[in-house]
Amino acid sequence: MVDKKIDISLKEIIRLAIIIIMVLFSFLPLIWMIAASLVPEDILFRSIIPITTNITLKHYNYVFSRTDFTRWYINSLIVGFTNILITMPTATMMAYVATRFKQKYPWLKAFGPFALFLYMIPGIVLALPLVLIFGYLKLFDTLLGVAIANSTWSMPLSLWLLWGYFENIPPELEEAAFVDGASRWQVLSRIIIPIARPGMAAVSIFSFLTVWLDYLFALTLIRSEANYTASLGITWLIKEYSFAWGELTAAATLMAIPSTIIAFLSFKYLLYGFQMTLKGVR
Amino acid sequence: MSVVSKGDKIFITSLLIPTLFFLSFVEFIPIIYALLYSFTSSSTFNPTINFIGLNNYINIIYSTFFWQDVINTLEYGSVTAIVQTLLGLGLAILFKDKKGSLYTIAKALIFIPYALPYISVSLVWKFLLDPQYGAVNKVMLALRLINDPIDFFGNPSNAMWSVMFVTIWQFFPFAMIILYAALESVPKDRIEAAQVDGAGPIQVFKHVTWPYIRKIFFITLFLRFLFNFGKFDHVWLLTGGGPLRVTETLPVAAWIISFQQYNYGVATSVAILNLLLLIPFLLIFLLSVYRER
Amino acid sequence: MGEKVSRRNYLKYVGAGIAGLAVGGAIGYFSRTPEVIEKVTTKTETVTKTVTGVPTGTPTTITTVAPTTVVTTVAPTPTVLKRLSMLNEETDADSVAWLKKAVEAYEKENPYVKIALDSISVTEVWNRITLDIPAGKAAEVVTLPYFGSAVTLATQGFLYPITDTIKAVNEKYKGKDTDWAPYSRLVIEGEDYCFPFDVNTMILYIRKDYFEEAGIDRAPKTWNEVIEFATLLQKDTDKDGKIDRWGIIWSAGRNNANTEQYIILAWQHGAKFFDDDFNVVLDSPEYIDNAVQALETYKKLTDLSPPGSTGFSWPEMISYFTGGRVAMGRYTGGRLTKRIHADNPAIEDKVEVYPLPQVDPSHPVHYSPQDVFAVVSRSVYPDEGAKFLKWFIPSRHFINFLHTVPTHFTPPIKCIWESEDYRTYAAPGLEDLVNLLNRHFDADKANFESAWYGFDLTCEPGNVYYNPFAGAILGGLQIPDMVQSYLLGRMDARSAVKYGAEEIRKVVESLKATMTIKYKIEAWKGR
Repeated sequence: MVDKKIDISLKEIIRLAIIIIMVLFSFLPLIWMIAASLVPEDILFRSIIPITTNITLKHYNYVFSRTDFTRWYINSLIVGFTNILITMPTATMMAYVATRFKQKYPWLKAFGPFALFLYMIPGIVLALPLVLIFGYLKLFDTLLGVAIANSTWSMPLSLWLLWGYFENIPPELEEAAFVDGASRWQVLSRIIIPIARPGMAAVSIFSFLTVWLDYLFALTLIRSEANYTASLGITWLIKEYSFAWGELTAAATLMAIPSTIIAFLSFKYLLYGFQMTLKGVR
Repeated sequence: MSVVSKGDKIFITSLLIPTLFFLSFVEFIPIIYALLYSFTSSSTFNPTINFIGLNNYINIIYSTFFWQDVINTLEYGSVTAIVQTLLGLGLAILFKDKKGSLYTIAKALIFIPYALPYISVSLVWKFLLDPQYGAVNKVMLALRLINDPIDFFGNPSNAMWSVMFVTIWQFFPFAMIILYAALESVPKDRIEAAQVDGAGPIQVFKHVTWPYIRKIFFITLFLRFLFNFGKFDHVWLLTGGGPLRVTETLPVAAWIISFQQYNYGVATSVAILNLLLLIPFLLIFLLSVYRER
Repeated sequence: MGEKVSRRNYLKYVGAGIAGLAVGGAIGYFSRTPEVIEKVTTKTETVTKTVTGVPTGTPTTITTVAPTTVVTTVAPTPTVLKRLSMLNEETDADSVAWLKKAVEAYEKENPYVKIALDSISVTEVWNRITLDIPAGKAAEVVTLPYFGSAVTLATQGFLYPITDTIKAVNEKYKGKDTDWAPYSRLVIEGEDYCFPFDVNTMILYIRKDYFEEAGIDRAPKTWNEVIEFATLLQKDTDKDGKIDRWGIIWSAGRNNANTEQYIILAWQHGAKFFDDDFNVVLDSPEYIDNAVQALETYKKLTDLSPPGSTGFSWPEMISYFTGGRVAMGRYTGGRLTKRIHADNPAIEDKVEVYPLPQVDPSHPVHYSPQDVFAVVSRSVYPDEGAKFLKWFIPSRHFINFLHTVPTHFTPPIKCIWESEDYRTYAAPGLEDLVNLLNRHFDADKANFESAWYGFDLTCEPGNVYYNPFAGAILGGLQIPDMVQSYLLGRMDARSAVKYGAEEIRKVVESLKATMTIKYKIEAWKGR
């Protein structure tokens, strides 16, 4: 009995130790980033981890006053939410139809693989033609255009996620309602959607993240400074003549704020969403 | 449910049609465009339909750079996918059955890199791995692990590993989440039964857990591979194709050909080839995973 | 579960609300109609009426009616607000600020025009333009990274004539054609297509104090002397066994800084890249040995540079020199002077500028590219863009712009360079920089004069025509890859040259196949 206790403790300590190491592995670079944005640049170059009592806010001051970063930040948020609006309803509807009408339209069985096919399309295959297509449609250099382009990334994963999710919702739930005379629309809104909320939340998070992280589509499809997203905005700070590391890390830290919020608040939803999907995949 | 009522038909059409329309507009029309232009001889300044048949493809396939790029892309896609998934699995196992706010915080902290913009990640790691000023080199030098600073991104022998490292660092939390969800859904009673029978943790994993999560593991592996195979951002932002083109993957090559050599026809051909190369992998994946249905 | 659902509900509603606002804002932004400005004009017409009679024998009275002034008010003619954009690659904060001022002044005078100034780094600007033109949203006014870029665009017909600007400059400053340096103008069928706003010569910067410390009393005139001096100038200042002050910084990164350095060394060793039919001749029997020697000189220089030179670019060249970690540095143009003034003024009087060393001092070859303004014809309002340039260049705003980076923004146009305004006028806020300009007047003079004997890849020594493919090579990776292949030991020098030349040839062949070159332009001679 005593041996087992010691065994467990040792295992637990090793487990904890590895977890701590991995947390540091993921998180230390971010700590460096935040610290680098708060110290004068010469200290940054001289030290290993830039921690000093000589904290300065001048990099943040520069980013806010001498650049249009606030505007670019808001642009990113707008594009992110637009992408959610595009992806989430579309993916939900398609996934629902695909899972509920499989018997009548057997080709819908290939929906999962179809979604995966879309997921694998490399961004560059779409970005190169979209320049021309959006040019014709006057969507070039617009935030809406970037949102649409980004939905090519978020849509397939969302389709796959929600498809598995809906597969896991037993049709019996709806059968009861049909027997009671409900129309499909009512079934959809009153029964399915409330259950599907975690999945839809997960899809929204992914759609937002797709935009927040993106560089390729922003680089290809935006031209005017006024329409820059935050990712492009950071490159504005990379001048030819000097890498302004203080300002760059300040901007990067600002961009990490929604990232942190998402990581902390929505981890649960993502997890739940994936759990339901995986049950459906089986 | 086998009879599709008229109301159902309206329902389907009103839901399906706009979304299918949207999908085709955004996904398929660009691919058709790219395919079309890949058969032309076009300058990026003024892409025109000036058909030359398969000439672009023939020239690309006969060039040395293309096959090197294919190897780089395969290496990049597969190594990052394997390491990410294994790392994710390892962490998922570590976190298994652990509840409590401390562990939740740990999971969230590990997840943050996944939610960071690619440019932030690239800039941070570019500095951290800098031979002169980077913390990584400074620490290793101070600990006497190395004698001279390692040039992570400028040395052709290192560059690909460094780029892969950054990609793995950012994306492994995705694998961790999925595999954690998978692990949590293994029925507890089966595990307990095995443990009662005297099985050690490794045997429990091998005989009880693994069969349950095996499918998810491979799905994750393939998802990561498909995702990284066509990824542009990290490679471009970290090395731009690398010293002596050792990190030049197909998306990066397509970009350079399009915007530095102004050859739109060849660029789209490279992009299409990038897509085509994925199809065999997708087929293998689909056959193995979905055959059981 | 109930509680969680309501929290999720709440988040969902809030999220949906924000999203709705965002989309609403986005839709509102996209669907804005061009603003209409009402321009009221009054027209005054003078009407003269004279009545004369024709006498037929009978004397009649001739009456004249006094001229009446009729005032007609013309109905307001709405003029659409024209939105232009200007793509600027000069990202120095002062340059951007003074360009903005010029744009604002122009907008004030022309209320029906709005110019959005987009500043983008030099490495990105060409990507941007190659994207914008096919998308149909090119900026009207652009600054181009190389003169060769202007040639690339002009030979395909993508530039809009700005002859009016050139005329206005000559008019304002009483200039003649001979005032314009060679290669500074792009003339096709009598029309000008770009305006060269500065010339940047590759020059040598040295730390006089380090030289004196090492007992060297003069600047190097040849590359052999550079190598010799650099070895003497190496120092271990903190006595830890490692060199921390190097003789020279000679970058070898995968960028244009590398390309330039190799080009000048190749020319000085007697090699050449293109012939006048734009065929690659670098690896021809006539030039290959010279190209190989140039590579070997390149390596000797990077061997004496701080470690990691294969990752260096412009920022490192500046920071190592201003940081006092190298005794010699080079820059194309005088921007380093301003960086020293801004980043480390303590060393300003310890720094001296010299012409670039030569392989053969009796046959000097210099590298003097020029930056240009141009108007893209594939934009929405090119005519307005041309109008802006016509207003901007002859104005004091342009002089102010030139003053923002003294000894770097040196106009290769004699009448402007010698003008009162350039020398003595200082707009409020620019006094410090104009003083800097006058303190380093010799350097500015040398930069200016170099425009008359320096070269650019766009038209190499011995060639007559502007090369429309030079821009692609200047901004491309072929030359840096060639240099790095040799420096990193992947190939011997001769194979590297062959490899590089072949890569350049492939790109040029593909360019010849895809680009429709409409004009073969003779280089401007300056005479």
